[in-house]
Amino acid sequence: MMKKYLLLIFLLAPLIASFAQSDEIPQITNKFLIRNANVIVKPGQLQPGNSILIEDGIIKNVGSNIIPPFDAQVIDADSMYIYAGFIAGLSHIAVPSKETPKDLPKIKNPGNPPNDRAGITPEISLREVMNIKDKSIEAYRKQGITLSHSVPKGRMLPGKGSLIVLNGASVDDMLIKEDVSLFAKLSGASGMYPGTVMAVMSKFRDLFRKAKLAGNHEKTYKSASQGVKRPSYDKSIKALYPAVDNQLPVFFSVEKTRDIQRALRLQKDLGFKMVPSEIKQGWLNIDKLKSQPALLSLNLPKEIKEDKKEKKKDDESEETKSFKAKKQKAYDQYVGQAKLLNEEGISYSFSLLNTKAGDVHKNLSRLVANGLSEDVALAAMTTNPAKTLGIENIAGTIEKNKLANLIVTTKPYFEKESKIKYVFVEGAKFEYDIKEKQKSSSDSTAVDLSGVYNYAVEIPGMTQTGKLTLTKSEDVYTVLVTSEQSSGDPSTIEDVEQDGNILDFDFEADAQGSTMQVNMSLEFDADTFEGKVSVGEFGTFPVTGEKTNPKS
Amino acid sequence: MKIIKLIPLLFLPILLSAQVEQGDVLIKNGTVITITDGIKENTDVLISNGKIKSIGEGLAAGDDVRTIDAAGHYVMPGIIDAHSHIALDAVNEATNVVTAEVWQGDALNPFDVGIYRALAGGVTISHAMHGSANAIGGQCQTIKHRWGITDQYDLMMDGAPRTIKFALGENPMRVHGERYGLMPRTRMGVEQVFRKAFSEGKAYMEQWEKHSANKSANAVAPEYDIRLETLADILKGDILIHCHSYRADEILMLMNVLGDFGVNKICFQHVNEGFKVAPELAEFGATASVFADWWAYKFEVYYSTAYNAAILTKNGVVTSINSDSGELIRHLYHEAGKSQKYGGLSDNDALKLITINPAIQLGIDDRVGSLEVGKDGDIAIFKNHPLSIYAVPQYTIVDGIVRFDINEDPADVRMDIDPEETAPAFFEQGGHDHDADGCMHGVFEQLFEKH
Repeated sequence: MMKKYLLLIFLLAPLIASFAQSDEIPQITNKFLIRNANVIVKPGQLQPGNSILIEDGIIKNVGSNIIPPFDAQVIDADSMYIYAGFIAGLSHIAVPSKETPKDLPKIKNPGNPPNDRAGITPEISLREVMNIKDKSIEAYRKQGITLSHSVPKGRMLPGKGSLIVLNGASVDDMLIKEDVSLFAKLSGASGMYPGTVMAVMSKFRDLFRKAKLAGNHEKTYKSASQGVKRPSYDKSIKALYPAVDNQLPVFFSVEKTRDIQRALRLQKDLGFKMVPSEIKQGWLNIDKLKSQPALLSLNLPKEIKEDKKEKKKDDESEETKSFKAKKQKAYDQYVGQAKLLNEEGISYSFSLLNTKAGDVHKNLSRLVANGLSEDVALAAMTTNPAKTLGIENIAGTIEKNKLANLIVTTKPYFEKESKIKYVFVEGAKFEYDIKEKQKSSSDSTAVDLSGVYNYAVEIPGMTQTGKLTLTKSEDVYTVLVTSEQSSGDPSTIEDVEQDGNILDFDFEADAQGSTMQVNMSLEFDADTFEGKVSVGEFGTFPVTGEKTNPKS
Repeated sequence: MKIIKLIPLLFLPILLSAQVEQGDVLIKNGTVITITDGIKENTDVLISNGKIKSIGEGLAAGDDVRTIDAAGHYVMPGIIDAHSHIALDAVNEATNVVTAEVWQGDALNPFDVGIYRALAGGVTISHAMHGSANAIGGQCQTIKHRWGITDQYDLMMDGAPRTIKFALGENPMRVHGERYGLMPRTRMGVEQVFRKAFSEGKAYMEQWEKHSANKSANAVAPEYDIRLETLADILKGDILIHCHSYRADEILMLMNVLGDFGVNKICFQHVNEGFKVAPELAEFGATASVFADWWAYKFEVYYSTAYNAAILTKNGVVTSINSDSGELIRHLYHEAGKSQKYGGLSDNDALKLITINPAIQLGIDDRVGSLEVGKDGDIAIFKNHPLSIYAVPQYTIVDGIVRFDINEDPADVRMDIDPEETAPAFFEQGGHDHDADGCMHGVFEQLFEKH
């Protein structure tokens, strides 16, 4: 039996590069001694030659002369580094993407859709939407995330967030604190009210004020015992009571500077407890961010690479030169935000709502390369989120009696060659293969992306959908774009640029007689892609897509 | 220690509503067009802390005050555009025929280059309006063109009255009637949308009045509704109506409806057939904000004349000329000049169309629209007379701060660049190249739709 497993593992190893424990093989012991490592008990505090004893998911001891119990597995970690397990201040880890049911009833009056269609579901608790088999759990755990403040996906009020550990046999097993936050965004509904940001703002005011009065009504009803009109029952409004009463913090996703200003305005008007989150452009609002904890996005803009084609042009125009300088400055501000906000005395954590698992290490390193101190970067993944989420007593540092959430790396985390060898989640060990990657994929243009994809462009107030057909012959792509909303002819594009898994192309779309310039830049990841569509003078919109017939 | 921690929290509301920057400028030896007090040759204007401190000869200021030599130049009040859609992230909440509760103040964009372009045309204030997709659209916001600031709410002109966009005719009929098969499908339906909304607003207002009079301990407040609350505010006269309109019959219709509900503060926008009902407008006390010579972009706008502004003015209707466009806003002084070619308005009456008259329509004429001591330091300085075809704006000053200086006019003024942006040049906002008026901006998603 065992042999069979081993053979299987052996066969799969080259394919999946890493292997974590599966449900079929129970962990033999719940006691571990990680011996003789460099232990970073908290950011800035390195203890060389230390050992950590784990028992029942708890750090039992940290010290240099720990004698392992007879039934403990001893891991010799000489020259390795141990960090406290990372905490995602805010993420969608364990939350699968919502599939829009195809047979949804058509909304007859887009001005008054049901709450769930309008993106208003504050009553939804994480446990109702999370899936313990979701791929994101393993993907982020592999990057050292051991604990996450996960929130449902959706539009303006997707639901309530809970704290989970990134391991467990059931939802109950993973949850360590339920309904700790209300998650909010400024995203409008698709093709119905509230469609634009201004309607979303109004709707927040409407809902919060309604909830305030409804709460008072309920109190009067209870205290009077009779003679008072029975309050109506509205689950969405009811779910807002704790936020309206300042009991539950509102984690507000506010990427750009205007989002931050708008959320602050709502806070001023309605007076709720807020944690501005997923901040990408916070440097313009420093004074206003000082009064409360904040979460910065770990999603950074793409690195600016010199275009090979452009290099040939010696006669770069003044306009292009000045544009490039401005763009560089903008880039520097985005990647320098973490450093600047720290210097300004703002204590923050990182949120991972839009950060792919594979970018966690890369982007933390980019922030450090742009001047952020390693200690602050680590604190924003450990001690700070523990404090903001109110779990300092159990997580954030490597101390006796805290959860055994640990990351064991081969070299200091920020060294380029550093690899994660083990991740412990509440004492459960996950071991990763750290063999160097084979360099077969060095010729990045060889990635074949051809296929038929369904795409969705998120334009405020309306989602545009259609099909994108990629065909490849002799390393040249042709793209065919059709739209489900437009009756016009499909657009065929032959000038497609590929850079690894990124495709970039321009085309002209016919919109009732006038021609619009459209640019699409898509980043592919297996059978899905995400990217941006720039539509003439109308702006740039996010696009996502999925292969209609995935190979796997 | 705890008290110290609390202090920043206590000051938070004050910090959030901190005053925006005010400046000092001394403008020397210009030809000062005051609008309300004639033209003053070789005259200085001193702006101190954002306000006009004095107008006269031989004025002096401290060495640290910026001095502009306006000799040979024309100094006039900053131009005011009573109808625009610049500096906005969203224009139309086209999902419902009544969206009185939405507010453009929540959708401002201080990084829109349109603000700078407007400044380059001497425009210091614009009325950032909701679009005309709905019969009762959203609330608008009067903004000052403080190009360079980064907080969107700092664009707002503090203390400017609340305003709201209404729309008559084809736009709401097309969006809600044709697209969704809902009311209104006809012009008759548009009228009923107003009557129904006002009736509901009135009932809501009465419910709340009844509730506040109820002293019982067990009194339960009516359900809050931000839309009805806003409609009630219109009925109370707290919000000025700016109504997108073309046809004379519809203009009369709305005045009848407003009369029935006791509302009288209204400015008709576009109002291309206003010349047909000018005496009626004047009698009602309605004002009019028109295009100089722009029409025939859809069926209901064929019957028009370039004499509209002059006819309305001569009938005693407070009239302004607006842009409704990120392009026209750059030369409103030229648009005003057309009223001299068509209708022979005097220089001062022509300039009133883009200064004190739009200020009256926005309820801010006590603060701006003319050069008077105590008013805001919003000024446009021109080479050549502003109504001349050779007029070129030189400096535009907002609250005593020079926000546009033709001598320091960089090619690329953008402040907020996407680090992943690929194109060096771009066009952010269209002008009158659409087949409709700028009011339908943001309903472009319909372009993709099957009809």
